[in-house]
Formats: sequence, structure tokens, C-alpha cells
Amino acid sequence: MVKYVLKRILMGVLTIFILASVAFLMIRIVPGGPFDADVAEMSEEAYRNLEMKYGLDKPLYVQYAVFMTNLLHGDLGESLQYTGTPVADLIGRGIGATARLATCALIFSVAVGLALGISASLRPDSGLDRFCTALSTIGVSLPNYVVAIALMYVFAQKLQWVPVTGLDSYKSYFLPVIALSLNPIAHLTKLSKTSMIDALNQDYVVLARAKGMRTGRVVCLHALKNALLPVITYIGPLISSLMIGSFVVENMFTIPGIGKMLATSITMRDYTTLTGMVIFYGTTVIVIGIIVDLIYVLIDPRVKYE
Amino acid sequence: MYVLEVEHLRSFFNTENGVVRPVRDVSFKVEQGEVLGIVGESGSGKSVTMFSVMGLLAKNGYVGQGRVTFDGETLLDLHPETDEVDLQTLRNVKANYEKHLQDIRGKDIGMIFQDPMTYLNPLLTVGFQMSEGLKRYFHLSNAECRARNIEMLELVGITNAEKRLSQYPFELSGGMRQRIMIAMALNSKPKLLIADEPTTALDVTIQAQILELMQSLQKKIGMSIILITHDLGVVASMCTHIIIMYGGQIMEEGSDMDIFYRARHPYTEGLLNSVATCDNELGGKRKLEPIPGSPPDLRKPPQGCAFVDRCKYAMKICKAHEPPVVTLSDTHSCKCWRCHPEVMAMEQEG
Repeated sequence: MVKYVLKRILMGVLTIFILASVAFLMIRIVPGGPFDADVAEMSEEAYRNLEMKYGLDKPLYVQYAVFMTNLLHGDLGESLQYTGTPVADLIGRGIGATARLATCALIFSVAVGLALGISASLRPDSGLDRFCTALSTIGVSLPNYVVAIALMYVFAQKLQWVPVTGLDSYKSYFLPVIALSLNPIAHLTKLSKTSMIDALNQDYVVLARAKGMRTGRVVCLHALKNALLPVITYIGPLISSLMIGSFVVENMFTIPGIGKMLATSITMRDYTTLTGMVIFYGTTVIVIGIIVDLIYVLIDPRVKYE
Repeated sequence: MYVLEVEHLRSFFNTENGVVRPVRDVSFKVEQGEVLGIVGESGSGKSVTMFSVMGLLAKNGYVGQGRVTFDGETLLDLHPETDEVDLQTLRNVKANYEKHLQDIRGKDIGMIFQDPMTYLNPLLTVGFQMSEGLKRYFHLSNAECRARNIEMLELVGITNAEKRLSQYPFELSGGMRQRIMIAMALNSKPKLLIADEPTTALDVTIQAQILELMQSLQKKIGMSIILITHDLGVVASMCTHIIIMYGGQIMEEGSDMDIFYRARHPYTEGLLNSVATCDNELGGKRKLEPIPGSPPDLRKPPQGCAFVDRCKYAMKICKAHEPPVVTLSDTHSCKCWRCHPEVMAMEQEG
């Protein structure tokens, strides 16, 4: 078990280095450079000086060697856009908002998705069941930016119940969280409904009832524990996608999170910030993956990692 | 004194392809300390009968008619005037019946099932699954549950009982799981044990052990057993009273002697002929005789006798009219026109 985790961590580190290299190359292949916007106002010499300062005048392999050496020392470099600010500081500044938003969306979508899915599984063909089917279809097909615009228009502009942008009070969380959650809720409702129906039809549920267990216990313990396995498999990648996928929503609601930062770092060709962000996201995905695997062991005794 | 009395039970499943009637007017009684065998092929309605009594039918299954009395208390008394299916009423009846049963199942009636591989919850330890009933009905503490579970596991012949309690079903063999299921059902010392093909999924040596175990426990605890099986060999070694079911009805009923030596129903005869034996009474080798054909479609139950299409003695009347139940002795009865006094008289006349 310990050996397995160590192996996973080692593989993870290797993955991060490959990911960093790909990100490093890709952003440099894209035409344009970090200082292109300012080129018009700058003398040729000033531009050269800037390039020299950040080592951009050197051949690519030298740049790569320097980048990797720094990375091995845990240094992500300085942002080219906000000159003088280390990338690590930039991420540290934005991560709070993104993490808060992602956590709220995660809790909200898991709670609502499971509640709807389980209730629907208990009453097939009821009104609630049909509502859930409709919700899953709509939720999967509507992109979150469309939902975001609609929500902003109705609740922020027309009804003025909540602020349009920012993340200043608890009220500002409602719209971005709902916009982020709709798609996961749709998936979770459908997933928990089907796996719950499957579990309720299993023989061990009959035995639990034959033992005299009350309906609530049969559903919430005997069936649900088994039905949760596929749900957990989905929740792992969901956490990553909430962290990463929030950049559209963060942009729309002008929330100062790392999602927004990633978007600007691409348009501004902020090489260091972008590679730093990619490394950060990659690490998040890998760490969550390992955690989900460990949770699996806790729930299902049949899972053993060699 | 009867532990369980079932009268005129009818059940049905509401499916996409129409209403299926797997139990059609079944009545039987179980005496205290008796081992009753219910025998029939797959689809004869033997399991569904007991699932109906236990209220364990699937979501689309309902009891449509019948009276169930357990230990002197009437749990269900339903006699609709028409044969029409009114789902809403039946749902209410089912919910009501469920309420009655939730305090009896697992306490006064224990049940063990066919497949020990799938009936234990894969994610819960043996100890946890065994303790649930004890906690619910007897409010025992964890330590008391543990002591009782160990005692029970040892009784059903499981070694290393203490270790087994913390194991999960997947870590145990099929025979061991079946023993655990039996221990679980007997944990509350029930008055009645319903065993639904308890040995079907096990290999022959383990089968014999499990049957022996059930027999010795029955004597020790003094409970009644209903043994559902398609295996006449199992019935012969265990049961004092036997019911032969076919097409959702009881075809023949009698003591073990009645069924094995004085069988009257062609279906019972067919079942006995299809049992493999090493040698028969004549000492010669006998060929196995299967019963040709397949069971009737219970979406459209036949008008006459359910067995008519496969019966080698079938007469005109068998197709047109359902045979009556003819009482042959105190213990023996048969649902066949050939046992009817008038038909017998006609046959004698030639």
C-alpha cells in the first residue's frame, strides 16, 4: 500500500516534468511574445534589454535548461506581465477565491445531485424522476457561460438580489456557484440514480430486508454505500475540472481567481506564469487522483493496490 | 398449532408484457417443528410464494389475494371481489403488509437464500451484517453482539470465528458464506426458517454438510423449516411434509411416504422419474426420463390443468376444466382429474 502510494507520487513528479516541458515549448511555438504590446512605445534597445533581463534572447535549449534548473529548486520564476512578481505569489493570491468557489460548487453539486438521484431512484416514473431526467439533459447540454449570462441578467440585473461581479460578500457566491454546478449536478443526478437503482435491485438488499432492517437503513446504508463507488470515481475528476474549468465563470463574474489569471497569461504570452499555472493544475489533478484512489480503499475492501 | 397458515394466496407481477401470475391460489400450513418441502422446477412459483409471504417481492410484484396467519396473528387478509388489478389499492395493501412484517422478518422468521455469493453485502464485514438484527430487535451492545455472533458461527461450524467477524464476504468461500447466512438467520432464534434453495449454488460435498447442519440446528432450536428446492434428493433426506408445485399451483401434497411411494400426480411421477439414482429397486439400470416440454406461460394461465400440455395421461376434461383438489388420505391430496372418484370409476369400467 505504502509502496503503491510512493510509486504513484514518483510517477506524478515525472508527469509534472513532462507536462512542464510541453507547456514550456507550446507557448513559445505560438506566434507573438510577452512584450509585443509595448513594442510600439519602446526603443529597439529597451526591447533587447528586456529580452536579455528575462533570458529570452538566449537559444531555446539554454532557456529550457535554466527553466528546469529553477523548477528543480522549486522556483517558478517571475511573471513577465506583472514584472517583479514571482509566479508563486500570483498563484497564492488567486488560489483563495478559486478554491472557495470550487469548494462551494463541489458541496452544492454533490448534495443536490445525490439528493435528486437517490429520490428519483426510489420513485421511478414519478414527477420527480421525470424532472431529474429533464434536468440531466438540460444540464449536460447547456454550457456554463450561457447559464452564467442568464443568471446575471435575471438575478443581478433585473431582480437585483445579488451583485453582478466580484466576490465580496456571501451573496456574490450564489450565481457563480450555480453556474459552475449545473453541469456536475446533471451528471451526478443521472449517475447516482442509475447506480442506486442498480444497487437496490441487488440480492444483498433483499437479505437486508429479510433481516428486518427498516427501509431507511436499507436504502441509506446497504444500497447507498455500494452505489457511491461510481459516484466517487466521478467526483475526483470533478474537483479538478471545477478548479480549472472555473476560468470561464471567473472571467464572466470578474472574480480574481487563478482561472482568470490563466486566461490572461495566455493572451499576454506571459510564458512563466502560464507554465507555472500548468504545473500547479497538473499537481492538483495528480494529488486529487491519489486521494480518490485512497478513498476507494477505505470504502471498498475488495480494492487492493499492489 | 400452526406456525404459518397461508390460504388462497395469489400474487402477480405487473410487467411491460402484461400481468404475470406466478402464484395462483396456493394454500398450505406449517406445523410447529415441522420441515416442509416445497418442490418444483424453475418458474413453478415456489420461491415467489415464499417471497410473497415474506413481503419481499420486487417493486412490480403484488399480493392480489390471500390470508396469511403467522403464529396465530393474521398479517394479511385480502379478498377482492373481482379479478381486476387495481394498482393503487394493491400498493396500499403492500405498504400496510410491509409495516406488519418489519417487526417479524429477521426476528420470528429467518430466511436464507440461494446464492451466498450475492446475498451478503460486499462492503460490510461479516460481524457488522450479523449484528444488525441483534441490535435492532434485542438492543444488544457491541460486545454482547460479538459474543453472540462468535457463539453462532461456532454453532454452524465455522472455525476461527473471531477472525471471520472482521472479514468481508469476498474473503470467504461459498460454503462458509452459506454457513454465515444461516448463522445470521438463526441469530434471533426464529420460530420459522425459510430456506430458498440453500444448497443449489454449492458443490455436492458442501451441500450435504449444510443440510446436515440445518437438520441438527432445527432439532436444537425447535423451529419449523420451509425448504424450497427443485432437488427431490434434498427433500427426501429432510422433509416430513412435501408440496409439489407447478405453474403457480400446488399439484400434490403429502407426507414423505405419500410423495415417494404413493405419488398420484403425473407431474410428481415425472419428477421422480427424472431423479438420477445409482440403482433402482429392481437392481437394473434405469434411464433418466425427462419431462418433455416447458412450463406454461403465466401471463395467460391455461384454462384447464396447468400441466396438461406435458402430461402423458391428458384427457379432454383436463384441457377444458381445472381439476379439483382431491383428498386421498389425512395427509395426502392431489390436484388431478385422474384422482377424481368419478373418473376413477369410469377408468375401472374401462
